[in-house]
Amino acid sequence: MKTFKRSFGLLLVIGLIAAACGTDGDDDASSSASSSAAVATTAAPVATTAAPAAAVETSEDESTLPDLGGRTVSVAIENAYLPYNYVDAETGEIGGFDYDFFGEICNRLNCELDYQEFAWEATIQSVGDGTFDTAGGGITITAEREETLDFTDSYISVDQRLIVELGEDRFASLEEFGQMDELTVCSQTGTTNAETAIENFGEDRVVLFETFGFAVQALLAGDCDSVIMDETAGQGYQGENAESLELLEGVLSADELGVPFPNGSDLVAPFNAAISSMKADGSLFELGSKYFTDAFTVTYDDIGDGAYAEEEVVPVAGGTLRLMMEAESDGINPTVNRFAISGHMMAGAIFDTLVWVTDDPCACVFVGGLAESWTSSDDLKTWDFKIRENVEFHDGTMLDAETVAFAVGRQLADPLISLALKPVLDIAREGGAVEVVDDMTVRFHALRPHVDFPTYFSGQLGYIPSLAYMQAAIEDPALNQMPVGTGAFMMDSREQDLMTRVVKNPNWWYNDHLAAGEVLLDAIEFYVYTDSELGAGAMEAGDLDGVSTSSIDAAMILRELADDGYQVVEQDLGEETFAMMNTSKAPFDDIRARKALTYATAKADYLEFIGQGELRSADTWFPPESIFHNPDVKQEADMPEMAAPLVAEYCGDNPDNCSDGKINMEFQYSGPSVIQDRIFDVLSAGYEPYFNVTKDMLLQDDHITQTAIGMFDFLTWRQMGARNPDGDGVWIVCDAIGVLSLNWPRYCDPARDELVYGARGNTDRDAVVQAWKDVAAHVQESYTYVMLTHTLWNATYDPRLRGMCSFTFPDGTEPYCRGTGGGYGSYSTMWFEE
Amino acid sequence: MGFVLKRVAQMVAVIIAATFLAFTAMSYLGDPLFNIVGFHASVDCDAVLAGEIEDVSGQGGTDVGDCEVVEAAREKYHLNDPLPVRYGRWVGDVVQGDLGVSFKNSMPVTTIIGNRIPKSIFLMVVAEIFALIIAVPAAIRAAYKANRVFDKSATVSSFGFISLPNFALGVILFYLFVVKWQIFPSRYEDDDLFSRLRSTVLPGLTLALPLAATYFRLLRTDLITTLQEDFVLMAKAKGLSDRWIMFRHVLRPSLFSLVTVFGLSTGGLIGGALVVEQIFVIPGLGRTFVEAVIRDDFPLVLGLVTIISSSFIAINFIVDLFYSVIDPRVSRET
Repeated sequence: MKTFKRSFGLLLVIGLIAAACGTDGDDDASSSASSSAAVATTAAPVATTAAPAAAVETSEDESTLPDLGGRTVSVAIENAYLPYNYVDAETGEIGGFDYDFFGEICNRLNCELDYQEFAWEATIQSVGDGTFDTAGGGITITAEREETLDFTDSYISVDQRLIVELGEDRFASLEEFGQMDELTVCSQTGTTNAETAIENFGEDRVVLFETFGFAVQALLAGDCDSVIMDETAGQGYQGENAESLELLEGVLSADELGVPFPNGSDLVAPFNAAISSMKADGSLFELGSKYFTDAFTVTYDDIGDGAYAEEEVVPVAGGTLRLMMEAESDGINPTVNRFAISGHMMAGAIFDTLVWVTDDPCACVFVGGLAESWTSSDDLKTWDFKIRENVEFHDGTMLDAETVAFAVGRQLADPLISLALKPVLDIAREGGAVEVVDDMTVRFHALRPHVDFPTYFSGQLGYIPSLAYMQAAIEDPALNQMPVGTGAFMMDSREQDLMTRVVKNPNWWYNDHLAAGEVLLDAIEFYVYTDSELGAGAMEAGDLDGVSTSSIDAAMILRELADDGYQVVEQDLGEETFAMMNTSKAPFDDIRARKALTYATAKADYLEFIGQGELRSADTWFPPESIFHNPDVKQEADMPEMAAPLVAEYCGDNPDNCSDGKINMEFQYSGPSVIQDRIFDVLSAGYEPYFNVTKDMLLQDDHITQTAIGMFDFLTWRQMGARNPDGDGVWIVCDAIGVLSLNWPRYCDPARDELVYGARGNTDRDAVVQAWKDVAAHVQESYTYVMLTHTLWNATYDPRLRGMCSFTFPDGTEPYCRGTGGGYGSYSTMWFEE
Repeated sequence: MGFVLKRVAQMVAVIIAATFLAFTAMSYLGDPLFNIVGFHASVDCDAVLAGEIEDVSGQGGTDVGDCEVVEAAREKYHLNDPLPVRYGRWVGDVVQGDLGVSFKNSMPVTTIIGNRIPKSIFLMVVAEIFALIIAVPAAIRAAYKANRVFDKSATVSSFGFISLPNFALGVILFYLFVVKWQIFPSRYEDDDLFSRLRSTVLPGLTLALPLAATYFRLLRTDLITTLQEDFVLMAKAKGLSDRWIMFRHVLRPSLFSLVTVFGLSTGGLIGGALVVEQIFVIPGLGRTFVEAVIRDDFPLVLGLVTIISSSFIAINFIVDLFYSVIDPRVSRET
């Protein structure tokens, strides 16, 4: 029987695809279509009408077919539905069964075809009301549709059958299966298969899965007794594990596909004649063989979106972007003011950096920004930066080497920045670490061989203001509020604590590299909302177009806006929240005290009450997604029983630092802040059994000072997480310990330094990654940090804002876009859809 | 005339006392040097210069050169002088109209205050107007029909508003009028008078409602007391209308407590403005004040203390003068 069908028949069984289109109730053809992509290859032709082999002869009544006299027939077509119609994604050529089928019909009837790309959803209705003459896409003939449509005779039939495990012996036929009430049928949610199964066996016996594949897996696992599918007669089930499955005897339903026309259309009769002539001469069979067998290899990965393709959007220039800042910056002069996030948000619009970092997992691939290129000496210690020509500042002056050297020199005058760069730049060198070689070349002297040296000029140190401006600002510090850079936007006005406005720079040197040829936004306004939750409210009220916050409470408000079309992006890959201990004084100069504290940390409570279940626990320096993450390093916590003996031992040796058998310590944090108070409460509760915790709340400036000069025992902090950890070395190396320290815990480990500096001078990336994994292990063993969480950032944008991550570098590479925008010219590509 | 002179002399004394207190407090509680030389301020430079402190790692950190910078800054800002001398120098500058420059951003303190004070004054004026518009008619109505439904409900709600903290009321108004109904903007707008008014309604109300409640309670009590005076009975007997009695004879003598509290409340308003300006993003004095204190921004704090204490005293001076308008006997007695 099977052989017969394969030879003579043209019963076409098309997989779930046809089932999807065959139901009126299915309002999402594209989703079920894509879910069944894999099934397309399993389809095969089978006879719908048992056409006698003899019919292959040339049809004798071709001459008797009606002549439509060149009449135009309009066909609604999706161009996104295999194997009926599609557009090749690469060549843009259309193809599919429908084109050949309608083409052959009109060939025989003498008509012209007018294909119109149209989404499936409204196709039935549009044919019914005469908008189109007919439509492609394998439409099932149903009684309901026949109320508004006239169908031709069936040209294809789709069978629904059951597959069961090979060698199934509990039942031998569909009928037997139907009688055994305990047997289940599995299927995919929302398909005609599922409907058919429920109709035939009742809801109780049907188990639904998200995909067809899951249903098959369940069958193999014995959780299902059968799976209903659109059958490829004669070929059986050809998907995964086909060797262990077989088709059950009997057909559950056979859907007939016909060509639809509006009620009363005079095209039905001629089309019927053509279809029967195609059946008769075997050309329909040939078409079926071409499209419904393994011979058809096009998959959904190969085709375009057809009627569902988004129209190519052309960015529109104009508009003002209103962004929230959680704090105000003292000023925006990068050579004077130390930037936190808000400073960088504004500076990212006004300045360009010397070096740009591409979106590479190691953040070690650099592209020239204001520095066109750079070369280093063989020992990687002398770096010549070639400054880009023809870059104009907002005040009309031109960028040159002298300006760059002056700007970097000004930053090095800041004691903390110079401290941070002491392990990097040869500051003690006679003649300085920065030299002007010629008009357009600046030479930097690195302290050690340094492969990723340019990374230091991709942040604040790389922002270059105009020379005239920097000099004027020394005389008049008020100018620190009105910086002059080279960036995509120029300062317009600034009212501290309220709003800073920058306007489009029509002469931006980068314009030629932009797809649009110009900066799109007219202006950006940065508003200060020190309470992020109120900022989120302002966003909801339409007073802001973009909010970026690390406040969980604000994030929860912002997430709800996603329902209104707001674009919400969250990531926690950039920064760690942790606590640290001062190893330069008692009690945490003793590793037993450090270990005890680490073990006693109430991390689970911290995650629940502070993280509100939304924050990921941090076990080590890098998030698991980072290539530098060392999965073997996992810090202990919530193990108070391990703390007890250590504390007893420590207090035995150091009775002066203990009272009542507990270690005395101060817990310092920055306030006043409700969240910091809460953190203190949660963590102290865990420490109390072993430590006498004294609260020491300080204003932020004092907090930082006390930390830098080592006047603390234990405190909470947020840092690390640079994509390229080279820059994080400064927080741990011995060089950064002094009267003032950036190595806050003041823990010196020469072996660790060797790893950090070794990595710095190593060109072998794998070795660098390994070195940082080893550093993480060393850090863990030193018990100086109590890792808490990965800081979660929420960025929410207005529904109409586009181009947040569209900025590309001249060589086509892209910056790392966290979806939070800002920086590296990414404001320049943002625009508002009308 | 003697009255005015005496009051002016009092005012000057109070301002000197207030600023001297602030000057002393700032000198001992904060470290002005920190803002000038940053972290190095915290280092014991005497010890470093004497070679007593050993650098922990032998590298990095503060060295002798840095401490010379600290010394230079001490000299420049006269930080080595005794406190009274420094205060005297500061007063000398102030008299010449020089309040110094802010440590925060090196802007002249007069510029910063000049920039911000109009916004705060505007907010406070709006708040006071709201408070009076709400309180006076309500008090009159309540006093007329004391212990009736309106009086009772107004009294109960006034208790509510007095006990409700500013930040809670502000956030509630923000949520309702900004987020939910989107009637008012979420932040200060300064395009024209209308936008300024519009964006001041909510912060104004936040400040005004508790104030109105206080005014209401005072005025209501005073009115009820006055209404029981014999001259009111006399006026009624004469056949004067209730309205005439209230506005011509009762209201004026009942205003004393209200006017006194009006003057004193400006102090509370400045405090309330700190919070309200944060919620409604108004770059006024309140915000500046908080930040200046947190940062130990010496010149700015002193400038603000001077301005705020002077205006507070000035307002109360005006209030005192106003007593004689309400009741001519006041000036005659003095």
